[in-house]
Amino acid sequence: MAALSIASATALGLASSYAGMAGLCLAMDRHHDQVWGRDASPLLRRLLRIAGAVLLAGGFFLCLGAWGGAIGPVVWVGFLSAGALSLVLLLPYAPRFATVLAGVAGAVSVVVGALALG
Amino acid sequence: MNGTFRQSMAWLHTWGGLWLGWVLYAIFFTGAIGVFDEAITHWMNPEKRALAAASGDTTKQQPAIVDRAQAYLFKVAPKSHFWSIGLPDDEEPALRVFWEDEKKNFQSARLDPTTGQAIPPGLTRETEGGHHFVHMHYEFHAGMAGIWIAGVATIAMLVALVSGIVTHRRIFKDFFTFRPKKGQRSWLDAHNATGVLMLPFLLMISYTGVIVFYATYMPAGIAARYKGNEDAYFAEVQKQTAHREETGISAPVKPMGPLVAQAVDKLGRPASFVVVEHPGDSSASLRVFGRNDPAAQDGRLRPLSSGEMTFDAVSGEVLDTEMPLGSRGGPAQHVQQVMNALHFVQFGGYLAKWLYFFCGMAGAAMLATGMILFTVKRRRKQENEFGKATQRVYRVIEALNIASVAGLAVASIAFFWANRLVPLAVEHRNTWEIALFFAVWVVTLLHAFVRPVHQAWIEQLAAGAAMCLLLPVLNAFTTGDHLALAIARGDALSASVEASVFAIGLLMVAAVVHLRRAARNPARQPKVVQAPVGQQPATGTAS
Repeated sequence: MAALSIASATALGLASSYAGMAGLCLAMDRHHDQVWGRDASPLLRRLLRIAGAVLLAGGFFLCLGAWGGAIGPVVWVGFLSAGALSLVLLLPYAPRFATVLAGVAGAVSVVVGALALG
Repeated sequence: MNGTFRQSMAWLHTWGGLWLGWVLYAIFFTGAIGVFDEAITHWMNPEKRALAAASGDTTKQQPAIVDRAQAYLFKVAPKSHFWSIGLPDDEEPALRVFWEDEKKNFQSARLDPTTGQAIPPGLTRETEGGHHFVHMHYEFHAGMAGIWIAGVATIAMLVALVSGIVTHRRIFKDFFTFRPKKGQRSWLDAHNATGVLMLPFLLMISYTGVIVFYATYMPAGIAARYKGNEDAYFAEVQKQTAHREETGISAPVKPMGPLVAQAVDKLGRPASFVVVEHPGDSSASLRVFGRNDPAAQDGRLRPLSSGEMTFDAVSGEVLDTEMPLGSRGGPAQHVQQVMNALHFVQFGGYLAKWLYFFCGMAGAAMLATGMILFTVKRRRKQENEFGKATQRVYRVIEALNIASVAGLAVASIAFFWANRLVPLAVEHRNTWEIALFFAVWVVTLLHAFVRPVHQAWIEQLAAGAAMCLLLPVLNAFTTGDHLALAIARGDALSASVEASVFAIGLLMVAAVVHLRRAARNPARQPKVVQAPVGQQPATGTAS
């Protein structure tokens, strides 16, 4: 993780928080319906929830790595709020775009996170 | 107010939130801007910036500079309660001296560091800078009274947060819910979303805000144990040398230059401030503070000392040394330091500052949506809480909402304009800037009463937008500086201030466009329904 600069850790932290929140959000029938016009299947709902939780947890470790044990958790909580609020403001206006953005952000977080670990 | 627990909490949330919402909105809004006080102060002082750059690094001459300050202070106040000397740095080219005069009034002067002579006013911009917003944030420029108002409001904030959580039935079900273009529903959604999603920040910032002034808000402990002597309490809790009482025996202060040289040498850092307590008395002590080095704090939440050294100012004997990056006091003191650091965002550089800015503005949005929700709900259906005066009270609340949200934004950008427009040579120039801020704010309140509600919102936001978007033009006309020049000389602070203000101007334009569209679409303008006289106000729902 030490390989990440503060700027890229910030981008990655925000991306993983946004994507993680989107995972949790789209696992709810109300919001799944908002994007795809139908409820999620139980399997998909579970997958989205796990993906969301993993991304948020991954963000926590990313913040620990980039800012250390004292400041990392504070920054992480800030990212959680920022990610969730941007999702909530974007979703009703552009549900499809918000979802695609979450997919891209999630994928980038996973790939860059894996590369930085490896 | 009878009914279930939840109904009682809803009542508390509505009325507590409303009456203190205006104060809290001002605290959140100015606090969010105050996060960038250094950058704003930098932007507001083009002359000082240029002079500081021209005079270069003066840290080598610090002992000589302190001698000049001492000569000046000895001339104006040979015997005083205190002297204080601020040494020039990258942002401030002048040598600043402060003292208490015979009438116990606080006095200050700006000196040329190379001559020790007072700088005639009008060469640089006398301004409060970004500190204006910080002062508004915790005391509204009203001293101790303001600190108490802010404290009461912050306790009310904590009450409103907890009662809001109790009142909100579906925190997790509505976690991601925002339904725009649905009138009252949308305002409630926005209020809930900003409140719930920002909850960790809101709880943290309100609680730590009270803790910053714990000695003021909860004085009983110090009154009982230290007989109200705060100096003695803080000296003990911070494990510093005890405050020395005045003896009344005259004794001259030693030449301070060599003592400062000794401290700079020992601490390994340039000095930032020098403070002399009781100069002219045999109890005089001299304290030299090291310059703060944010880079050395990297990765820590609790700030470490930037170093200080205390001397007997008469004999020159070293009384106490605290090395840079040292740490004193017990666990309780450290916990309070962490809470201060969390509140003042003394960690994490500009990333953390921007996070705090957005969270603070989201908190302000939470307060604004709550206050607007109160009126939107009652525009549809009056609740006759104030009997015959209900209509008039609602109108007052509408006007206060407009002035506290849109009006404060206009007054804040007007402060930037005042910084560029008030002539440099005006006496008490910094007070004039602040007076203009308040004057504009009062005008927005009058305007909010005179104009129809919807028009007042549009006109004030439009005025604010215009002033934000034109700030670069004003700056170019008054100082000749602009964004391209700032970027060219690598002045990221000035460039960011101007670019951010411009971006905020664009957001305000979007708000104006949105409101104008809403005004043209009467279907979404809810009608005022006059409730039958004597009808009981509905209870049980938030707002």
